[in-house]
Amino acid sequence: MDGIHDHLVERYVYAVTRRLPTAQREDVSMELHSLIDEMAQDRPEDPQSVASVLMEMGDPAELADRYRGVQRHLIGSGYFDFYLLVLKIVGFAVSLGIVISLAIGFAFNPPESLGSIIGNMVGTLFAAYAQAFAWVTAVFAIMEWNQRRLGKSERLEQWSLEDLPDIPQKSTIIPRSEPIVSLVFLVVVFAILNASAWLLKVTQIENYTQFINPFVPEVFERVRILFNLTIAIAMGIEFAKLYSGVQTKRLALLTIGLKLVSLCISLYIVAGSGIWNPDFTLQMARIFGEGNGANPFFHKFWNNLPTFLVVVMVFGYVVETIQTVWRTWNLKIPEK
Amino acid sequence: MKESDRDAFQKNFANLSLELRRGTLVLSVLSQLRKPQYGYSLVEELGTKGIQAEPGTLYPLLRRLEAQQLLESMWETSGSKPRKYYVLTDTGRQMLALLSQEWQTITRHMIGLLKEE
Repeated sequence: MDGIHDHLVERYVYAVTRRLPTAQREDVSMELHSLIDEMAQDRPEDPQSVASVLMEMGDPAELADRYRGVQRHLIGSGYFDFYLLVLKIVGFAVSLGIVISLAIGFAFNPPESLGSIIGNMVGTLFAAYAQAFAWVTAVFAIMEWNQRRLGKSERLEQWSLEDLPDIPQKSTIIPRSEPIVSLVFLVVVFAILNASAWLLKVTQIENYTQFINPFVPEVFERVRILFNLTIAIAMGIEFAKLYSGVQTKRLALLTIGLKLVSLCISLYIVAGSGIWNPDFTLQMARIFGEGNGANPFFHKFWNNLPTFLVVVMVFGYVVETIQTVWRTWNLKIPEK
Repeated sequence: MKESDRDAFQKNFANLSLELRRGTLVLSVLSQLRKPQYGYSLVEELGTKGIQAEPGTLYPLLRRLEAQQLLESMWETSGSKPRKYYVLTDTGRQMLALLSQEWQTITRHMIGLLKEE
């Protein structure tokens, strides 16, 4: 065998072994060398014997797959469609969120030129897409890995009839549009909350050096992470709904539990963090020229707003929980 | 049948028959490893006995069977080129016996099924 052919064999063997675990490489390499050698020698009449043997052996990647015995992929066919769907939703949501938050930013802090608007937007979008793509992919890769691990251990356990999933009743099917709409809404809220220029420095009226703001800016900054946490929780719930596609007991428990966490955080923000600007009514009155005192009605409203919000949120949570429990556990009410 | 349909049919036949034969490969391999053989000699021996086995399928299979402790291997380096010899272990022998019985049963039933035509 001449040098060129030797080199070809080396390259082929390398193409296979580089895809294998280190411990196997040397052994497989020796084995393949010896095999290719022998196969080529069996065809003395063929001057291109090495090339034809290698062609016969086929794609080195496939051969390596057979050696490894397992498929190697980040996201398998089980999750791939859902992965694409989530990528689309996230892509759309990111675009919308960024456009909104930049628009708010520009409204309060006008940029010099159209060029800088476009430049800013393209740059921000690009960075955000890269981030979003990386996060979504990472989450799915972990899900896939977890699934593979579970799949292995589950096969060792005895499977039983109880493991069969219920056939979803029509009333329990969650239409895809529902979580998607919620997700988009959440992204919009997220964008608005985080484009905080306007929330922090809102309405600087001429002749007044004072900024007025319904929130205490320092507190707002401090609790923003909590705001974002509740949004993240809500998004998690929506993605779980999207993936499940039906209202299951597990999903219901997950929703109720996570929403309770969210509720506690929200209650703290609204009632316990001191986020509301106590002088807001007075400052408003000054701006709108209602003499020296705050409008008594507005003042009363403002002072009772936290309590009102607490009642609304708790009430909302209770209603939603009852609804979820009702929908999930009372499925078998006979229809008329 | 149209030409394109015939091609598709042929292709499908090739796939299905490959699938059919794939399951028999383990038994074929085990049956020939009562005595030590290296990969390529096994390919050739199977070939002369009418069983086509691609080296690209066979070599990884040998490794898997070794990992399942049905085969054991040994490098023979005294010759002009190194060769890895595989041979049945005791477990492998037991497995071969069981699988052969299974095969007899399957063929008996299959013959019965196919006679019904």
